[in-house]
Amino acid sequence: MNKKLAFYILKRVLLAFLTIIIVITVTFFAVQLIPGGPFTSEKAVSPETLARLEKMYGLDKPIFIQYINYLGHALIFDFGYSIKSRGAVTVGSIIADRMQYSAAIGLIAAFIAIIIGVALGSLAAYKHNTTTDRVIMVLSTASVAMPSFIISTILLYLFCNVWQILPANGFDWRGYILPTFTLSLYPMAYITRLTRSSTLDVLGSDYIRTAYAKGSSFSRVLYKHSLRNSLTPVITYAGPMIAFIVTGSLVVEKIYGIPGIGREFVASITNRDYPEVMGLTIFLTYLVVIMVLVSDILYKVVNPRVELE
Amino acid sequence: MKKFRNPFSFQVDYDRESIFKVATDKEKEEQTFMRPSTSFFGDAVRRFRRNKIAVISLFFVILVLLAIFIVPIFYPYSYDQQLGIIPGKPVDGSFANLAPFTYCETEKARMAAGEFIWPHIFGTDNAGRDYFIRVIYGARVSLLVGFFAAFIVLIVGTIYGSISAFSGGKVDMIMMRIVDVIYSLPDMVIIILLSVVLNNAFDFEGTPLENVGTSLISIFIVYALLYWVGMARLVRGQVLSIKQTEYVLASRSIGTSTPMILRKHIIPNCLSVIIVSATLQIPSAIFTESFLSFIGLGVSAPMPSLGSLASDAIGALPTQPYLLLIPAVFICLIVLALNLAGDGLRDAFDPKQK
Amino acid sequence: MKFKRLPKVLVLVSVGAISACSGSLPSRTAHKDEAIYSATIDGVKRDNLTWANAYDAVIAKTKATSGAERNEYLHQAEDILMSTGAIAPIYYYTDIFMKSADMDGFYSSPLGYKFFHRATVGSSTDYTVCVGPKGDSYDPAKNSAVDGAIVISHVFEGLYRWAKPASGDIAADLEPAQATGFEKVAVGSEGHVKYTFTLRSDAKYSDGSALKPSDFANSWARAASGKLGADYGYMFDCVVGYEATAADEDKYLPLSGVTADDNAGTLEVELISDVPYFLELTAFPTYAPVKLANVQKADGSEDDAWWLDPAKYIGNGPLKVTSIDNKEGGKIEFAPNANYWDNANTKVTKLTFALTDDDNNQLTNYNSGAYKFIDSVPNEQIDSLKASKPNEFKINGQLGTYYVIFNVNDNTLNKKLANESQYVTFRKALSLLIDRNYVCKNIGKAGQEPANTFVGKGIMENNDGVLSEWTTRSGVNRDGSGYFKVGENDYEANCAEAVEMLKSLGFKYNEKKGSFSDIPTIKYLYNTSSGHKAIAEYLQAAFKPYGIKLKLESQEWATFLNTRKDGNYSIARNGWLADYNDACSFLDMWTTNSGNNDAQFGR
Repeated sequence: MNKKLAFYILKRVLLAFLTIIIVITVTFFAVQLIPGGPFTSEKAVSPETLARLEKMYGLDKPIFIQYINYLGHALIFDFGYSIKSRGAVTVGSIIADRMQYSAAIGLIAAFIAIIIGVALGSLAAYKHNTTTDRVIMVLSTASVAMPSFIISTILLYLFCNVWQILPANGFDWRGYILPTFTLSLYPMAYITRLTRSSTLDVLGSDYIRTAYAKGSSFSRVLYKHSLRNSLTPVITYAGPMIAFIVTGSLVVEKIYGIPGIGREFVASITNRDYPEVMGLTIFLTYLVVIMVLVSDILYKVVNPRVELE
Repeated sequence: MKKFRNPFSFQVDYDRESIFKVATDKEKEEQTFMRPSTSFFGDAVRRFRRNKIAVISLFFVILVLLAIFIVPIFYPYSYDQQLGIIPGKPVDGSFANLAPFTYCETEKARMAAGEFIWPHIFGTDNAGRDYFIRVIYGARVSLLVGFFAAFIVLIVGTIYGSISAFSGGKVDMIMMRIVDVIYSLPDMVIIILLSVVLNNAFDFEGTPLENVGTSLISIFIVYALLYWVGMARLVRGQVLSIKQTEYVLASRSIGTSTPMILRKHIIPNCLSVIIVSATLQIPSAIFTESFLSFIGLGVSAPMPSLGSLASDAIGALPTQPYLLLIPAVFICLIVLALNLAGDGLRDAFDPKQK
Repeated sequence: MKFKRLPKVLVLVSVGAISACSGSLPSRTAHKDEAIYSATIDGVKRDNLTWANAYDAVIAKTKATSGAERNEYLHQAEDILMSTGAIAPIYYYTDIFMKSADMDGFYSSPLGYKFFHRATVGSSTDYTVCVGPKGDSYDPAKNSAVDGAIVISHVFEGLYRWAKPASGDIAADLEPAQATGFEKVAVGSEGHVKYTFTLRSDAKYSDGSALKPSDFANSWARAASGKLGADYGYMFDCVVGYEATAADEDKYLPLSGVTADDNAGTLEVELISDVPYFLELTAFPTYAPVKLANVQKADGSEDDAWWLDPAKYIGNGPLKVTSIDNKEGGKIEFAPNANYWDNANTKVTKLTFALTDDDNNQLTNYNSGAYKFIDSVPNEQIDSLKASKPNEFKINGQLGTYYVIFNVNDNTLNKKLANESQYVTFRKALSLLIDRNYVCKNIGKAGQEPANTFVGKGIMENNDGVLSEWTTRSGVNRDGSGYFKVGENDYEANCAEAVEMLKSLGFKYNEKKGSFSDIPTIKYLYNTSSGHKAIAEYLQAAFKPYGIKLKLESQEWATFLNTRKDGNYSIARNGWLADYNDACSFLDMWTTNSGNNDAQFGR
């Protein structure tokens, strides 16, 4: 069994690596295909200056050579310097810095989403077909019915402009309240629904009935039998979810003025800052791939019945 | 001679006359099923109709669909008509930013002269365009994006997923690795790239697609290229798990052909998941479109979408909140109705609920 | 089964291909060969010139002349430019900002560089302002953005500086700063002049080290050098020796026209002509003296990150940077520079720049009192802010013009129009159909003025000691009437004239409907932004009743710049902000080989 698991993990890691190489390749050529370059500006620089700058940043070499160079460095996490800053900062330091904020709000939001989502979902399942159940379900459906940029705008306006009880920039901890809340809404609703339906499945299964029949208390049934089984779908969802929350908070970052990675990513594309686009893409891909991998492996570990491929 | 019989025995007393009796015709009739046999689809429809909320939601969606196609036919204003513009005359700025159901000075004068002026139900925007018709057109574009995207995702995802699941082995592995790669691609880069490439490659002039705009078509293509992967994974997983169930095994063991197994077991059992994912894809496409509008890559002006109307109105929130709230409420209701209807469909089409 | 979708894709591709093929148009003579321009060169009026013979030649004349003669050539250049109809000015830019009512001592340069070091907010000398997003570089030589220039202007000081105006927010005059004064003499016969600046003997950097004339000379050589390749290197093109320095890619070749004498404390600068704006350039960030030891690494190579380290980012200006977190949502903190010569006038004790590009977020922070000054506000709220906070909402002039540009090589109308002069008529007709007053009042809203010249309002010209505004002498008659009429009451006549012009080109006109029926659809390109979109939508709606169909196409910023520069458009939005207060900054960009010649004149 353990040997099988080890082989499975090895296989998945190799495939993840292959995925990353393909993503690097596709992104590299895609970014190069977009018109405009890092030195495009409203006031045009002269062709001589442009040529000099391109030489300075190695953009004058044939594209394939650039690609090989880049791939070699990227695989050892050397993403080079941001061109837009004219070589002042490394892409690595940009990622490290922006990740502080994105990871902070992302992880807090994911934590809130999982705790509240699982609690509400279980509650709805145990109180199946009661008013509590219906209220929870309606709330969870309604909370995902509004694009986050609208929710963010309205919350920001109410809390920071009308009532003025929270600051509008992320300079201190109070600035995190609204962004984390907004960010957690969607996954929270999803986890609530997921937990509810899987708990319902579990509660209807034979072994739960058996456990009750042999006189186990409710709490014992909950901990020993139901929770562990009903949480497996949540685990599969949580991995990619954390990756996407951390990386996909562009809207929230923009509206609440948080210097996060989503915003940086869009800016880097707008600026055609090739090294930065590539560095961020690779980093985000790593994040997604690793989280998916971890949650897949975790899924197999907590759920021994699942056959390994 | 009468056999001895222990009165406490549990053995069946075959000698008793009462044990086998010919049923009367009346009894026979009672034993037949009261209801005619129904098809799977008929069953599902019946179950769906029992779900009040889902029916109301579906009704609402149909109402919106009717409205967005019928209203523009008779509505006196068009979505791109700036009402203050009269050829040869300076633009009449008083038409801009009217509150709902108000009239500007020019219109009041014309009304005083006895003319009938159609009210601006949602007021006008800052360019003096009737906001109601813009919201209607916005809903049209958003739903078009939603349905079309869901359709593409449904078709591509189902076909890809089932081919992968049925082929198995190396083919399956390669196909799924492709899915993994697409899953990890940065969609922003791809969207910008595609809208640029498409702008240069296609010219929709003179075709019905002209008004829709290249960027919207790139959204569709982005959907076709990127977002079917979730559906493909789902379908593959479903097909694989159903393939391994006992009833499929049983069916196979009595010699049922593969097409028959597909039709009788696999498709009906996958259908619920596919339908619900497809309906839930519509709101997600509407969201994606509105997000793209927010970052400036949505539909081509002057064509509105609910998302572009909302994101254009963000700055006006303190002064004219209705410009933001009206499309926001529309998005909310449409998405809510689609989600609830989707849930209802899932419950209705789930064979396990039979 | 997998190929079911393929035919559909093929249909799309073939539709694209067919419509692309059907667009094969009769070819027109290449624009560069069309000799239709007139210009007075060397005092002789000549007709039937090509763009290179006319415009490029006139611009070359402006580089070799001075005073009233030079101004006349500049006006002539504008005449030629406007005669093409390819530039349709819409309005002159304004600079809007919100400033706390109790902020006192604030001022701005004519180019929109704000100064806060002399400003207090009530009794507070420690406050936060927002002047824009994060900068690409705060290295004086590499920066080319206004918000970067604001940071640099607080940390560095040139030979001269903008003087705080006695009233109002906008500085009009320069005053001696690191220099105490200068002398100007003519040199040689080619119109060269030489400035001799005397530097302040107590000039110091903020780390206490002495600032010498050679620091200026070295910094200028660096900024102009080909080795650095800075965007604004061309700001030195009036200095003798610029060509050689700009061509040298290996070292900071000293500018041959600049001589520093550290013992005498003087700096001599020889210019190729007596450009009226040179003194202003000495106050420009690119001319700031950096400390070369901090800019270079030990091995003499450029240290690209020096400006991100407060210990190295040493200047000679009123403030010094104490911390810098250069990112969206980050901030820069300043403290007074104890070694500054004019500390008596520095009022702030701590100044913070918040860095953000989201104007809704800026306004929210302004309203909550977190920011005392913001540089942009959401367009939708301008009207209400003007009404509710008249003392805080400020509108100032800015040296720039928003305009619509026509690609002179575009062939969309080749089936209808035969030659360039017909195209000129067509472009001018479209330009006349724009109600500029409406655009200013209802779309721009920020107090913009309708434009009928390309050179922006606020640009000054000096004719033998008589200082006047360029726009008061604009137009072919030099009487300030511009190149067309933009008064409130002129619009109806303009429309009628435009219709006549279009009729004269042979387009079919339906008198009853008042529209043309055979004008092909034209594409209008703009970059994604709500303001540009509003103008594009207005133009489309305004042209539609006449049967002129505009197809709007928006592109993301860098793509847009590239498309426009390459001339892959028919009509596009455009805008220009001057680098210095002189018409030349608006006009030398249209020479045949200029990188900013988006109209593709002469190509």
